[in-house]
Amino acid sequence: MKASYLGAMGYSERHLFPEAWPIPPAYHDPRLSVQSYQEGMEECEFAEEMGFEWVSFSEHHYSGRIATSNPAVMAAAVAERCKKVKLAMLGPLLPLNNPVRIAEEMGMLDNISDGRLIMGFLRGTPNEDQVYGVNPSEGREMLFEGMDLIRKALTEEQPFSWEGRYYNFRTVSVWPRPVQQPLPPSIMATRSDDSVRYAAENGMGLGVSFIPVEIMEPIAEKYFNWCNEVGWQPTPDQVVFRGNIYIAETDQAAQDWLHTLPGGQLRPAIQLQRSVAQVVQAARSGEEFDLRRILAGSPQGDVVGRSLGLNFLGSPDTIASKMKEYHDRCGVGVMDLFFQQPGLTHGEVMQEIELFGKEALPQIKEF
Amino acid sequence: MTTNQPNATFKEYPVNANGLALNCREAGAGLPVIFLESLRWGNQSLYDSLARTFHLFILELPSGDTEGIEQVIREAASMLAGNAYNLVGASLGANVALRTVLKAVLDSEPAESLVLLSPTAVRPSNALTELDQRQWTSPLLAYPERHANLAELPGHSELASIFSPGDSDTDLESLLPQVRCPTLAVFGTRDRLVSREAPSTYRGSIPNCHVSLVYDTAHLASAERPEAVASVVTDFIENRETFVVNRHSSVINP
Repeated sequence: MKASYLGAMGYSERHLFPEAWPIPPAYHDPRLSVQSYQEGMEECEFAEEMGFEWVSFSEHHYSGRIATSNPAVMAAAVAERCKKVKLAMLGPLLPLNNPVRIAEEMGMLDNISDGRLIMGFLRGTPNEDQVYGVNPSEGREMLFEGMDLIRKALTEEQPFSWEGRYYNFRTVSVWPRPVQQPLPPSIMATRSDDSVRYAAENGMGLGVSFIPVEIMEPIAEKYFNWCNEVGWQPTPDQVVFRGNIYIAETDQAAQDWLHTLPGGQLRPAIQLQRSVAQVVQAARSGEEFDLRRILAGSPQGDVVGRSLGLNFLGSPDTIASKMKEYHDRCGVGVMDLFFQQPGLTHGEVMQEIELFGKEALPQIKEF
Repeated sequence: MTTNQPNATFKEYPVNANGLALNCREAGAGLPVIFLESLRWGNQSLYDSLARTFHLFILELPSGDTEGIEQVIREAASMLAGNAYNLVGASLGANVALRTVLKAVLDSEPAESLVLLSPTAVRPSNALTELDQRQWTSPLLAYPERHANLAELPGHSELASIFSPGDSDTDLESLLPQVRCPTLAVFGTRDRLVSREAPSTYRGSIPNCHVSLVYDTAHLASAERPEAVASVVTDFIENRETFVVNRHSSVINP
């Protein structure tokens, strides 16, 4: 098993943010922000030094918790600091973006990193449909069409036009082509059946985030079965799990840290006004909804969100043991880890990276 | 493309050209468009759209390889549309359209533009002939279950003869550089009757060729997403190579 460091580039004062998303720009201090990006990139460099084989980037908007609204920009900066790690774009939110632009960014990243790119495609969390005004009920179809267009744009040898349902381009001729031919490794981050099947049918890897191993297990089983049906077997690098981690010298020390958090747990990272959350959810699932009833049941200031929880908490041995479960039960070959937990300083994150690299990573590399 | 305009009324009659009788359906007004049809199934929405903009003549092709069909088409097209027309063909009809234009290169080329819908003449695959009777719709339609009139499609062997390139198509790839008129080649992104390289081959070989990929359609793209096919075909015939220039306003509220 390999380890991947999620380059979140979190704003150092993120623990002071209000509950509800979006975070007002008034909370931004340019001086702290510059420092936060520098520290985030140092963490990526140090992770590489400690034996992490991937650094990943994820598109999120209107908040400093994961401060990479354009993950390609961040990956390009890190590519110049880290010369060995794979750059895993896990990833751009396709419904929010011009797929041709994403294809061009992928082509550039694979070239400037000399073939170290891993492509990943996501739909995005429910709040993010609002960022560029995407209808939540259309995001899934836009994701599928966007992926097809990107893969075509990166492999066609001659200019073409695209007559899509959601995208229409009369001239597509992406330059540069990827270094890795015909395509860089691709991962679809998903849990839903149709997306998992798409990944299997198109030779793509599977990325799953933040869920317990017992929930991931049937998803992985379907993925492996569908891959088998279409005649191929994923490699370990094609099954990725992204999880929250807090590692300490002992299990007790990890628990002690957890108890310093409000309520003794991670709070939801993204909270929305209840009415907005319900309407988004209904639109995403294609359900009818009664807007007036929803609004009446959602007083001002009523926000909702789901805590993702800590997937890995404890000593290096405990964490390695938990990761082995994901490996053995789900076939996970790459563990993508989010270290920047609330309230932790840059120095504390660096200590964790070192502890993980020295004590846990040698164990999981044996899986 | 959505429209509230009523569909055109087609009149149907035989056309005798070079000793062969072809069935013709005609509707609309405007620039003349000759459409070479190899399968009378699934194209009506496309025809209705085209007839709203153009003077459309649909010529039904005889099945199989017909000796001298190019000359028949040229003669029929001249009788119907005069000395300047736009030539469109689908599948086998696209192959015939291509051969017709190539044959005319030595003379004055009558086609002002050429549109090839899912042509199989170059880099064909064996997808259809390799499939058994139960699977025969899969290379033709990405979503067969969406078509209520599927039973009206001809059977497997007849379709195989309709969609396989003819013997006279074997040398067409080497002749592609001779095509002089603006050309649009349209392919479904899930078309398995041509190889993956076919679109690039047309684009790279014909001097003034554009390739359009119609998302989420198989070989019968115009039956699956007629609005998308009609949109790009109409744009191309009206504007030739300048169809790449977007002239739609982006203003939301003035």
